[in-house]
Amino acid sequence: MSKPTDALRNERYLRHYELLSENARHRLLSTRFIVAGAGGLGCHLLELLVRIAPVQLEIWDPAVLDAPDLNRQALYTPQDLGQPKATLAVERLTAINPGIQAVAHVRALNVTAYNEQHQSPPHAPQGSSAAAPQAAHSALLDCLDSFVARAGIEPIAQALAAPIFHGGVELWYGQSTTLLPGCGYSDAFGPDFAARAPAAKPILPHIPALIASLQVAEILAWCESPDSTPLSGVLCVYDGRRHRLDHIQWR
Amino acid sequence: MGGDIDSITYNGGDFLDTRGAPLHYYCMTRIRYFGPLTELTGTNEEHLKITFPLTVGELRGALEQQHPALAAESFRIAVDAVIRDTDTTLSAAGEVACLPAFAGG
Repeated sequence: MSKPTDALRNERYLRHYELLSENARHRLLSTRFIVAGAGGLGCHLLELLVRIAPVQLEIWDPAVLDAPDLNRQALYTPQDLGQPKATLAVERLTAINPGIQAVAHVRALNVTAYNEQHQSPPHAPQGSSAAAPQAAHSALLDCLDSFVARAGIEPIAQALAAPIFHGGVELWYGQSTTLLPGCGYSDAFGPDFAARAPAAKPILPHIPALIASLQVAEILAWCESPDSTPLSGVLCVYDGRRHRLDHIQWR
Repeated sequence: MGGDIDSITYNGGDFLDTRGAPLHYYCMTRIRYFGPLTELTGTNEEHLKITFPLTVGELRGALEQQHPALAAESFRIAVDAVIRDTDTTLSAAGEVACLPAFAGG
């Protein structure tokens, strides 16, 4: 009889199969990863994730590809200019790993949009739970470009009792942290987090690549141990000018 | 302050003089700036003379006196690698980090 994780018994996963416990493999395959943003962070994070396992993905991004995106958004090419990034991402990721289940939503992720796409709203009455179709767990991958947008996804995570794997980048700098259920952005970034100004435009391509890698490391840590990860309650801050990583406790 | 101090006690929060009053004292404290704050202050690290005890809000005020451009910035303050709320009173600080949140994706 086949086990649920037999999908990972494939030669393409040979290099890392033994590095993941059976529990971690099972959670990877039984989680619906809701990805908010298919830009700089999203491209790197998604490519790594689909190379690790045939994951279930929802990819949300309202934007079309602009020329300045090409310095860091690794899934796209100049021929894609003007096309929706969510759709392009699903196409490219499926080419990388045909085993994934991926759906594109060409719109911003927020409660209203989520409710329109799912029969069971995330704002379910207290005591009931929002459904995760074909998945036992949900996780939100925060690859957004503003804290206002982040405030919009937090209620979805709360209703689904899902963790948020956060990444943020700007100039030469970046940060990552994990918000396990019960924690919110205000715990990590203060009560006025949504008032934080949108990012300055300049960004170097290796910064989102590095921060996305930290997010993936956290996702794998959560698959191993859902109640505690190295960055739950801890902000990992990268200073790309000085090659320095700091760990700052926020809880 | 003022007068001779025969002994100092520490109650876990403030240092106290012989009368039990909070003792004010200063330390050269390492201050680190992250992200755009390094551009505004012109440095990523400096040592400032900080008088303790003081609240995190008062510490921020002291930093803004040193670098007025910080007043318009949104950032949190971590003391010895732990983020502290504005009203937290600090008796000492080995290292202060000024952390803006990076918003981009």
